[in-house]
Amino acid sequence: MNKKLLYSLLFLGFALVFNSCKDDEPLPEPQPQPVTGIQPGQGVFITNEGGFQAGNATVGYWKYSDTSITGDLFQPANQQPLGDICQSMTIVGNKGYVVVNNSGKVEVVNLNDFKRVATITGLTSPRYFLPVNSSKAYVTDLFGGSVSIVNLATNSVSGTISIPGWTEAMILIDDEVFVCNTDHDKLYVIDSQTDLLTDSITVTRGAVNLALDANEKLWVLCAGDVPSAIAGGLYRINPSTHQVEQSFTLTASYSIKGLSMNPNRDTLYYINTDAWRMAISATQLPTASFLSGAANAWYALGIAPNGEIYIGDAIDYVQPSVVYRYSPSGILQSNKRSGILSGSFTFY
Amino acid sequence: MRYTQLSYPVAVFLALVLCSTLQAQDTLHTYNLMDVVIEASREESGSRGLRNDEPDSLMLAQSDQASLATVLNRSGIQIKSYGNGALASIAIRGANATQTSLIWNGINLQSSTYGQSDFSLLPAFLFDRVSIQPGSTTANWGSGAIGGAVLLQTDQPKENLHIRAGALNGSFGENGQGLLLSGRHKNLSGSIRGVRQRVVNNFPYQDNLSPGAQGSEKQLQHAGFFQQATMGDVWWQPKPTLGFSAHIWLQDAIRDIPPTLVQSFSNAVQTDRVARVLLKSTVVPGGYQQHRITTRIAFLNDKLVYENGFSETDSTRVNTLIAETEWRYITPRYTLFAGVNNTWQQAEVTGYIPLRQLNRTALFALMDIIFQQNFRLAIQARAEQVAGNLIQPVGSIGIDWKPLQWIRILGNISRNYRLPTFNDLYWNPGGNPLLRPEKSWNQECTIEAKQAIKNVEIRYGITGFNRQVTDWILWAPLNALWTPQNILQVWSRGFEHRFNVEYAIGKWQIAIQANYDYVRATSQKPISPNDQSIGKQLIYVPAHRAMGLLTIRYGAWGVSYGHQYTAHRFTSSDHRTYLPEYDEAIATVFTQLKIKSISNQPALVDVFIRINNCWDERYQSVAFRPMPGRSFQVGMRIDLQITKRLLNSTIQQSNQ
Repeated sequence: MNKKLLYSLLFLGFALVFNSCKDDEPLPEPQPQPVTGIQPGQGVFITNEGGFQAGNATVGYWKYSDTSITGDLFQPANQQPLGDICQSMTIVGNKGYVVVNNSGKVEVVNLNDFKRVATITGLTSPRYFLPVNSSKAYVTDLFGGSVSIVNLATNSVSGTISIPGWTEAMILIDDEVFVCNTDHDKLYVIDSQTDLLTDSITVTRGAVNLALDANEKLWVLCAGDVPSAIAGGLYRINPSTHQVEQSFTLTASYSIKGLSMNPNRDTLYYINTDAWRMAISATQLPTASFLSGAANAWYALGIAPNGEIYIGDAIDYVQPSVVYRYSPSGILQSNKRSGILSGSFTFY
Repeated sequence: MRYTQLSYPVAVFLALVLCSTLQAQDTLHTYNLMDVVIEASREESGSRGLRNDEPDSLMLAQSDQASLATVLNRSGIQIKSYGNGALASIAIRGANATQTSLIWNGINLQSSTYGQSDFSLLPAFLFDRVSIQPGSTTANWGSGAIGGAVLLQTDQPKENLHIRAGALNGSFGENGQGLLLSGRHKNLSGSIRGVRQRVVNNFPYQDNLSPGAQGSEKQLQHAGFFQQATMGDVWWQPKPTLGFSAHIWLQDAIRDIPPTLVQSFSNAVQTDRVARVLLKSTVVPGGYQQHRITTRIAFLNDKLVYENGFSETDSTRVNTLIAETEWRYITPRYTLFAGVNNTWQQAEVTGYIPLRQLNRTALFALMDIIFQQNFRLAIQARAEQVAGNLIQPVGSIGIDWKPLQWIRILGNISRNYRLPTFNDLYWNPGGNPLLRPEKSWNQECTIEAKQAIKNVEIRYGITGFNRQVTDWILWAPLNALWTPQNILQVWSRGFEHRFNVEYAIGKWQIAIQANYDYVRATSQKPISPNDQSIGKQLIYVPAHRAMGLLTIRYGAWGVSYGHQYTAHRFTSSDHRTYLPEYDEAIATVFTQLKIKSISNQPALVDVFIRINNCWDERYQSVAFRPMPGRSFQVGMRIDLQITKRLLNSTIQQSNQ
């Protein structure tokens, strides 16, 4: 009987010792306070995609005078998460139009306090938002097979323009809208007064960004198609004649993105693993990169009104990004933690 | 005269043989080569020293029309569920779904393409025995068993005729039916069963996302699920030294994929179709009574089609052919196993063209020794060649020791690996054909104590485990291209308590089961220069889980209450976001009626009424996929068994 008791106690003791070898991790901090009083010229909005179907898309704000980036403007202001995959943001006056790709909506917010004014629904998988005049805007789409027309007064979809496949970034030049068609090799042209498709310009697969230079020429950056090894490229197009004036070839890569112009619009910048810059008058692609991003996963590039260059590093696409700020000559000024998968910079 | 003189001893011998086979159900199996209960099987010997968990038998009997996801979840196993009837994957001790093997009648069903099994697509009605080995070994089951194995068995029918019919009706358009017919006659037995499940899943959830919603209730849309399956089994034993069996499993499922809480709508649909055939033979080679040669041949065909609702269709078609021969040598002091397994896999996947195939051959050996009545030791090893490359051999050592009559100590150390899947190797773009297998060192120790005092029986067990996984495959970006890499290193450790009390007096029976699991599974090596996840718990691994089940029976009536607690789970590797802890409780009232039947035994009719998620807890197992709140079920099962008395008629026949 004593032996049984001894063994039982030993056993219990062993179990208790095991039990005490626990160390628990603390839970994260509670929600931050809403940010108010955002004024023009004080900072930059950073859209953060988040993970696909992880519902953690955010819009962050880097106020130049702050030591850290405010990670999430939308949730504290509206008591609801923004949604899934925030692709882009466009500013019209004092309002922000935030495109949430996998939630099928565009959130319209007051830039001052990021409170929601309206939500544009009825979209399939929107990508970019472009106002074409004071009363309407176009929204491109990944799966919808069309560009939606939005009535800016009612914040609702009033019609669609059928374009096959995936439409991406757009630019408005003299009442004509040029639309990237990523899974085809064309740039489509829409007459913004009639909402009709008028022309297409052949480039290559993977068109992602557009920019207008100081000579009023349109530049298109194409990433190519990696699975079928179709090369990407950089094209200079005359927007009046719709002719391709110059083209440069790039090896297809998922890292090609972020086409931007400096404030003088005489130099263009883009990411292709590293950050590259090229004068608009150049006759060949640069041989050396401007800034090296090889050890990282550079995902976003933006240029501030004062010429500073902002680069978003996705790290592993799951953790919060790091945003680097460089002087116009390429000297690192500062870096801060941002949201998950920072994808674009919208300077305000 | 000579005839009858000879025939009488033969008749007595036969009578004794048949007598023992029919009357004593256990010794039936001594002469039944198909069944692996009494003679040490590779399943048992190869798992020496590992703890085996089985779902509560009453709960299993009341889960005829449920999937294994539900059964395992209620048994305290961690199931990551994307919704009711949606994808349900298993996570044992912080390992992921691809690191858990699914074994059906000794055959590894692991998918060559994504390497994991969807437990919602495993109807519980198809299997007679389900067991979970949290600490299983690759040496026993082959590639993949780093984080445990789930074993599914179909048993040979014992009764001459057995009919079981079940039906279930529940909230949110749930209904299910099942029918089983089995029988045996002389040296032939077989069973056929069919099951059907359907649920609409339009349960209410709190909408916190749509503009102006502010927590109002919405009904889940486009979340229906339909599944039907048939399983047929045949056993034939033409001679005492020769036995065959054949098993066929056909299944069809279609699932509407609902939108997540952050999507406005979804039109996605997924269909899964499965055809699995297994042929088995066991031979006692001429005159060598101590030898057994078992051969298994399995052909598995899987097809999965996913339509995302935007005219994009992805399909995966997989064919697998497994051929395995095992030689067994049985002596009173030890059993030896040795064999060879060849697995050929072929996959046709939208994500990569052309067709891919792979052939692997493995040699295995196992020695299970009985030192004394109370001490057993098993050592096993396995070496595999994959497409001409030899994988580092693995093995395990396990002990099963009873130092005293009421204490049992189990221990096991093993080295394991998991081969990369076809998707990891060949996906375009990104697939990495240079991937190495994941590797692990696993250690596990269990101490169990059992005491019976008067009418009370108490059992308590505690298991401590430790597992180091290296070269864990993770899809991560490399130069802006997502590609799988052997970059993660995970250390899982913890302990599991298992406590049971049973009390019977008169017509009363009270049973209490209580489990508590603690897992610490942390990332040990940075995966990128700015990695913030070092030393932190992996995502979706709760540190604490607890389960309690109280069953009270009085005669033919009973009531049970089960309660489960799951701690918070982090949803980002740097722990900035998490899903809160939750409780889920189930209450059941049940009874068994006996109805006179044509057989010598009454037909048993079991009826139960159940409330799932009694306290209407709104929770998520996977972020942004709502789980149902309170729901009701009513279920019924009729069981009829007929055993003919053959004994008298057999002796009369042999006397003639």
